[in-house]
Amino acid sequence: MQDDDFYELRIYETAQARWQGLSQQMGEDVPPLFRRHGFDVPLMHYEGVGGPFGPIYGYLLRWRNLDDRMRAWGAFYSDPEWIAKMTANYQGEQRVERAHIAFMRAAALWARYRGAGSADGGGLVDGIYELRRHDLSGQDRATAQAQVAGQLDAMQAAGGQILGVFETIIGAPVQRLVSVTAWRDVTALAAHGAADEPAGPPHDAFLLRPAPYGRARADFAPHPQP
Amino acid sequence: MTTWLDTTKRQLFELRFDMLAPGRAIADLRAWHLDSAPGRAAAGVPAPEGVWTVRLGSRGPGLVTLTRWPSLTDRQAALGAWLDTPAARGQLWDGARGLIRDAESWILIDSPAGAGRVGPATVAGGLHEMRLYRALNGSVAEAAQALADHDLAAAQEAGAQPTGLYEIAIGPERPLIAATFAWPPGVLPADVWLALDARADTGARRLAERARHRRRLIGLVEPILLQPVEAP
Repeated sequence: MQDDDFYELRIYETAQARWQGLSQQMGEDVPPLFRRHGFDVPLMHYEGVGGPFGPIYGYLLRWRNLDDRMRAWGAFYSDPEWIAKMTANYQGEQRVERAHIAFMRAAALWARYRGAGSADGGGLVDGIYELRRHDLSGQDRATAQAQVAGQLDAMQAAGGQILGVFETIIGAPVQRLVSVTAWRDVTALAAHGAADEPAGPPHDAFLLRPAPYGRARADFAPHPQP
Repeated sequence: MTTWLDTTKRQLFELRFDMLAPGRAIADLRAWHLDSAPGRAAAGVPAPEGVWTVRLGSRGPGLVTLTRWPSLTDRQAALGAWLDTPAARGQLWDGARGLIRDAESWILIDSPAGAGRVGPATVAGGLHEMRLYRALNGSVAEAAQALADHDLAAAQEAGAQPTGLYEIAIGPERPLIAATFAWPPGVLPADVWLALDARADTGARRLAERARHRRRLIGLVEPILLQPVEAP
């Protein structure tokens, strides 16, 4: 399946104890504003429950054109309704400390997993998600990609559902694959031990809990606009 | 409370860091950059606004390239496609034989606060510097204006030419502001920044900023010392 879309991964480092207000705003205030300015429904919203740093909150967007993306964000940020709602929600203090934004494309490797976990036609995926950033830099690309495939195959065999595999192009360091795997629950995650992992390039990983309004569909299928 | 940047009315730049692979010489990367310029031009990549080697600082040793793009669609069609060619991939990334160990690509937008302060390098022979400033989220425009009014002004008083002031739109970290300078020969930039920090008015201004925001307006600063790459 040819996938020419761009994917925007946003990871917000949030201020301590101010995550919930941000999540509430993203779930209630933001969706109509996103619709107004031409955003698709984000493919997932999440909070971080493990990983290199925290607390974090984030989401994944899909774009067909990066210039449309720049225009949409510009219009969103300057929308008086957004400014009013954000100001009211923030109550004089920022909720987001730092933002990490990466543009990605679908990796060729994703085709290997598409369709494997969508028996119910792209239904919402429960559980917890494991987002890995595989570092292919300085290595033979074909070999490193094959090793990542081996690791994802092992996760899939252990009950993980591969939601997507991406390649970074702008923002994050390039030459990285980003994979998102859903686990039914923490027991399933723990059952796939690190010792079971085939060899592969170095990676870091975040453990994500999807927000109640932000569960992904299988294969990151688009959500319908409400 | 905030002034968000409108990314549609300003100029887009791509800042790319190519970090040298172990065992390779910076001269190899510099030569590759110069030798491959005709191929990039044929692919529609504009001549860069600036090319430097990292003399000292993070992401070094390596090459830093700043390119202006009319749109991100143009960027993808030109540089994105060229970087994905087997030749470029092979030369840059080919395992132990590749020129670079890692690379980062950021999208920058010129800051209106730099108008009247920044311009082409008018001094030659000294170091260049890129300073990356962590700004308070939601207050980027104010931080950029403070940098233009005070830091860029102090650099000019010391004989430097500020050559750019940018907000990072897409990058590994935001909010971040980048400023570039061309320093005159014999000047160590840190001496100018330390003198600025020691001024009473600087201290008073920062205290006022902190009282206003309950946080620092500008946090950590990361300086990268650079040397421009000139075409032979």
